[in-house]
Amino acid sequence: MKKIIQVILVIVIPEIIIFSIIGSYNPDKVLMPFDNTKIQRVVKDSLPADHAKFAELQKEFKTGQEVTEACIKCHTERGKEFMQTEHWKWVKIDTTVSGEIVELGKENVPNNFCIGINSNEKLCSKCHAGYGYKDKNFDFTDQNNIDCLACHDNTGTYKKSKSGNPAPTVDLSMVAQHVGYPNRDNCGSCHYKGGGGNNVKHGDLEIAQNSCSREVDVHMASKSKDDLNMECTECHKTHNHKISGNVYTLSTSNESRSSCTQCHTAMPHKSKILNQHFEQIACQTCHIPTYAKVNHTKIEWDWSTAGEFRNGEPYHEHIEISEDSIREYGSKHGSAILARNLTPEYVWFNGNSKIHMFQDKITESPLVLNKLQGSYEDNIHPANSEHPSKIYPVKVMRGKQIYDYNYKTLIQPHTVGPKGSGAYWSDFDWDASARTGMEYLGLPYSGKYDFVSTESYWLLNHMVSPKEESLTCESCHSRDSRLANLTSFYLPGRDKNAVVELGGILFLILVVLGVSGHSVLRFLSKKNN
Amino acid sequence: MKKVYIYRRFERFWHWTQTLIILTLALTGFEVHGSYHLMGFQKAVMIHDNAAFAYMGLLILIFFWLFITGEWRMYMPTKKHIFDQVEYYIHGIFHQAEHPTNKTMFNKFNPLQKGTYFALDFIILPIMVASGALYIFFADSLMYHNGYALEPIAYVHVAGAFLLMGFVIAHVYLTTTGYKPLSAIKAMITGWEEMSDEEAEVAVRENIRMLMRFSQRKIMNADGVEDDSMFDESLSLEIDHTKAMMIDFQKKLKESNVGYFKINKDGIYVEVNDIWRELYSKTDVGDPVGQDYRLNRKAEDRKTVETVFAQVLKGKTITGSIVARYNSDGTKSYHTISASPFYENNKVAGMEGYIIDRG
Repeated sequence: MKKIIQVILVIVIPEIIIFSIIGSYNPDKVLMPFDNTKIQRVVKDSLPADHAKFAELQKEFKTGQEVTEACIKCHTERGKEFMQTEHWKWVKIDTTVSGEIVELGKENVPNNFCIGINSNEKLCSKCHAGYGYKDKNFDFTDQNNIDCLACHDNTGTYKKSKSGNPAPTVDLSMVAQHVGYPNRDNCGSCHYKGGGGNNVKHGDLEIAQNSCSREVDVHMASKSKDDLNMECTECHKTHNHKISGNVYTLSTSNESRSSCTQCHTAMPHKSKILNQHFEQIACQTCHIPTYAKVNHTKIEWDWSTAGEFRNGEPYHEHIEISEDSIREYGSKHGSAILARNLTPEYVWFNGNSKIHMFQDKITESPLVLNKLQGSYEDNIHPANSEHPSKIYPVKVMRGKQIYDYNYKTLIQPHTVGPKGSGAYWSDFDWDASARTGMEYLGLPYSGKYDFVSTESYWLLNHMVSPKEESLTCESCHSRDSRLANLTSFYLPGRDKNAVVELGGILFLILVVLGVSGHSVLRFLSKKNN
Repeated sequence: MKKVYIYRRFERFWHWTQTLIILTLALTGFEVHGSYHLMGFQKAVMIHDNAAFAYMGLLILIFFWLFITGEWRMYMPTKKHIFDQVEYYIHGIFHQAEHPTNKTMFNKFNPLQKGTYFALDFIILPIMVASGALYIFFADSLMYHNGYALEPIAYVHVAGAFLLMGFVIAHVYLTTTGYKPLSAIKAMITGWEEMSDEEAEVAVRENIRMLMRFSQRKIMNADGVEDDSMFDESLSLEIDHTKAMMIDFQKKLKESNVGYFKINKDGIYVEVNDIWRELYSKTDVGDPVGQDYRLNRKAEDRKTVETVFAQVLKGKTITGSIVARYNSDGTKSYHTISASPFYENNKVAGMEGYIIDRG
């Protein structure tokens, strides 16, 4: 009896104490964690002016320019102010990685969706915040050409059509009398529809977000009473028409960013370890685990297959490949793949990127149109400690587009125009399209074209999931890691050394074999005696 | 079968705590490594880190104790008997041979164990602790900020983990090579190890000898010089005590039908028991006390007993030898003899042992 008591006191009780501490002690707690409910929201005027009562707006407007003229009668300086911004100019002054100062924007940067606006302005300017941008001769100095209504219409009825002019069905005076702060509808009327349709381009910006639930987008949700129902301008802070938050496909330098830390600070977690991850992982990586949650987005666009007719006529078809993906073919556009509920790909990014222009020589395949700069090694001696490299989630758009075989440069195809103009969507002739497009740009065309594979990287910032859906440790720290192709560093849980692993397992097998063999022999020899 | 006290309380506490911590570290460690998914990466890291710090605390206690008590000497590797030990494990053990070395409180490990535990405590565990500490603090460390990669630290740590796992498997198996399969495990829980009577005797004698040495070193007379005379007194006290234990033996002997004899170093019988007299009653030897140990034997049989006596006097223990006794009617009877030396004043004073009739 005494022996058992001794054993219990000396061994059992200490183990129980020690292991209950080991199993439960959690030192990973932030002393004063950040409280999301303390974030200050933008406070708007409770009683904005009622524009329906203004005399200036009590008339029949025949054109968009007439409306703008009326706006400027009171908002006298806003026109000049707006004309400095890239929503108007469609270019922005930027600094490249090598220090060169350039002008970059929708006006001159190629992408692998509709490729470029030059010679196609009539259609592309449906998303220009101006009236009449139908070719390169558009008067960027005339204030009356500004489209105030696209952003400030609060009726939800305003629509634009060819050359950016208001659609004929729009009641311009009604719209003019009900202007206000831009809401999701305003921004979304263009930014949701890039690439030729809802959610085609970004994957994380689409019309469903105008009235969605928390699960789709925590910030833009508006379905239930507690939803945040945030407007775009709450994150994309605007001052004097300068809107923050550059898109990475059109800019090279790490300026004017809109970031999570604006409201959430750099230490928003209750866990110290999660806060430490901030040093090398962007917020978006864990908090946007899926994109294109409601509607499909385009992930592949092959222009080279365009031009096939059916029964002598151009045609268009959708074939469902699976529940979440669709194969599309159109004679005008070629073949494409649309998909939803997509898992992002992950890259190192320090905020700078290299933009490929029409004049640049193509030296690799696939051609990366906006090479995101950054790497793991960057952080060891960061070029700029303000902007270290971090892992970000991206949508990769893969395409195949036309290029000049001899000059090895991208071609600006002429797609929008009447029959006989060389526009591809009317004439279905790549050679003519290339010739007229490059002529319009004032750049040479050798006469020989082919198609090159391209990639562009679209950082995901919207469709933030609720924190219950955010990535878990195992999403990256496991053999089946989301970061499988970022191999320049050792990630515990994912990586191992083949020699150590094989050697270790072989060693254990040998030990087990030795032990079993030895015990069998002992057992047999005892039996013999 | 006797039980001898080998493992002290702190040792047992240390051993089992270490066992549980190592198993916890292995279970959570291989999950952190990505080998399987049990409790989640976050929990596995938390428990692994907690257990690691607990282990470092335990190791401090262990190393402190090892050095303070002098137990560290037991861990020093030695070449003595190392091949005998290897031969035992790969051959002797299958033929029920005896262990080539004895386990006593002051010398617990055979040479193979000494080598293994030395490598473990002074080489592998320090490497694991160092690589583990570097691993936990890597992101904040100077190593990362100077461009060193985590790979070498991680590879060393994982390799060590495989080695430790192999050790655990082999170790648990080897604990079954004691007197009985569960003897060693019971010993590590209660502190008392089961062993054969002969081994127990060696252990007790060893313990006494060591304790004597310790006391001897600590006795000084008025001039500050180590004094041996008190040593003799305490030694004889111990011997009386041993004698008392022997008398206990004798009683048990009587009940077991085994003949007992004691012969002094001059070869003269000093003592026999009733069973011995009974076995020899058919001979005409009479009372052996005071007689030469060879008694009435001739030729071969004389040589046999002479050989046994000589070997025992040299310090060896003989078991299983067969000896003849000459009966009055001219026939011979045989008995099995086992004998070992007995000591007085630390020197061999004669031979004593048992005889069992074979007919």
